[in-house]
Amino acid sequence: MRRPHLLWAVLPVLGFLSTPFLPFVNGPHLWFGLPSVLVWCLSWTAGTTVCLALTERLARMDHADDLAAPHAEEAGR
Amino acid sequence: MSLDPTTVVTLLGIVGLAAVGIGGRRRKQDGIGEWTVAKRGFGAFTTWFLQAGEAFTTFSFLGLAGIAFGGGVAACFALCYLSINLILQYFTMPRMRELGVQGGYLTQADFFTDRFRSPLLGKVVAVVGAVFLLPYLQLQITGLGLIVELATGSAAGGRLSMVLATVLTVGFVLWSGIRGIARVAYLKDFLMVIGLIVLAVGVLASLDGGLGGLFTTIREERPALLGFDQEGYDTAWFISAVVISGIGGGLGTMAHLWPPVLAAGSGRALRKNAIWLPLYQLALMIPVIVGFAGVLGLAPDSPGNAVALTLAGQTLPGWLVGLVAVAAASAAMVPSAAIIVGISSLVSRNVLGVRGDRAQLRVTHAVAIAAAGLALLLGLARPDLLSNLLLLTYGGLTQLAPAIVMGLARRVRLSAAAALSGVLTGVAVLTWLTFGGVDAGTVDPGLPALLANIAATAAVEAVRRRRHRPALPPEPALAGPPTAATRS
Repeated sequence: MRRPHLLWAVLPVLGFLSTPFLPFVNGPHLWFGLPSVLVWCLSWTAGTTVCLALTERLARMDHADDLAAPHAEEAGR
Repeated sequence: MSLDPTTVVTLLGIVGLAAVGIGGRRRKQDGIGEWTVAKRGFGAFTTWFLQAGEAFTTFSFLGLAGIAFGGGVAACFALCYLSINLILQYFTMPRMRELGVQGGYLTQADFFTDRFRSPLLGKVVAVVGAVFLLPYLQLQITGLGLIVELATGSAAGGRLSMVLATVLTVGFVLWSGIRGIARVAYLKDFLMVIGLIVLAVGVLASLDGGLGGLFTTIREERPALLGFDQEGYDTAWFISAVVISGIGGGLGTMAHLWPPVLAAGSGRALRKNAIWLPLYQLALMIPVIVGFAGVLGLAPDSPGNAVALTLAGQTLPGWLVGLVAVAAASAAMVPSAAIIVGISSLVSRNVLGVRGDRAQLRVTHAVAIAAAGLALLLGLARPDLLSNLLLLTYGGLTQLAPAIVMGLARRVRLSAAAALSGVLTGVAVLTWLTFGGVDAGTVDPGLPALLANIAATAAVEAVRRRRHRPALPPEPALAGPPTAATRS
């Protein structure tokens, strides 16, 4: 895959869509006194920020590498 | 209608919001460009509030608490789809802005006209966008009336506030354009945060055992509300609603969301906001918790939309209920203003095709007054007339998603005919599923309609490519000198 860092952005989508299929989440459970589904969704909402920030950071590093590559080739020649 | 503290605070708040919007105008409106996209110079700060506008609407105050009241944790679907919106927006919005700058777009339909080289497609998209957004505008106005009615206990106060808020919103939109909307959006978000905190503190303080006690009681008395095994709110409903709403908001299918994107000064500002806005959406847990509190505090047959403000009325002093009502009213006025800009610019620029900057601005203003007036009249006289159309709004506009994705590519490989066929097929299937007596269970009808849309788009495109495949050159003779035909 040309841009593997994009997979980080897919992670929260999988987290959200898996909600009703996970028996330890979907059911009358309370985590920290709150419904497990609510805590799960809130965690992935905050996780969305983490994953997108990571995507942005890795994309920038990727871009910096792309810019540096021709110079490295020139130096090698 | 009595002028109690709640009514006074609410009405003054609505007037104050409009005054802030009127103060947003910076320079003379010399054309539709300044009015719609403000010279494309908004930074991350302003864009943040415009982008946040769609997450915090009347639905956040009334609808979400109502779903939690009736369907428990099903209300968490909003947290899911709004985050998926932002993930998709992180990738699509900077590209939309980039194309908008290159092509001088002011509306969503400009994008279709330019990318597919088809004014007809642009016109159809503009008509679809304007028709489906009108009931959404009416929903905001009616929602505002309901908020004031619930807060003040006066139906007359609700109707008066609908008229007042619509007139004032149209006034500040015409005067200040998108700059006015941005200014009100700052205040709206401040009020929303305060309003939600006040609501949470008031409601939780009235509960025996606080937050922990609330959910322990819910687990003992109504355990079904903590999972997806409920009638109407099952797994199929959750997945299809999250997918359709996630795609709809994330891929720019609603025309009124385009001007804030096109007004952004850089793609980086849009990306940065998409990264951090999910943290802001954590505040939506408050109406969800308030909805659960309603399960214990209100009669089971209470209307879902009334839960949040009824609990506020039971637990807070009048002037604080007024503050919550102003916050909720601002959540109706900002989206209303954006929808008015969206509908009017689509009609004047893409449907009527008015030429010339000043003429376009004049016609846009006239359409803005007409659209808001129509939505208000229908909201007052026939509130149910557009309700059927509203059922199609979200699923219907999502049918633009495949064409938008293809249009964002570096090179558009999809023909306008295929895109148009897909949109029309999707809307037709959605209409059939919604009104044709088809039992699709709890699946959001927008999802099967979207699949039909993609199939129709692919089929028409395949036929077009087969027809336009260039004829193979004649095979050269195996022996002997080249003939005249093969030489040429």
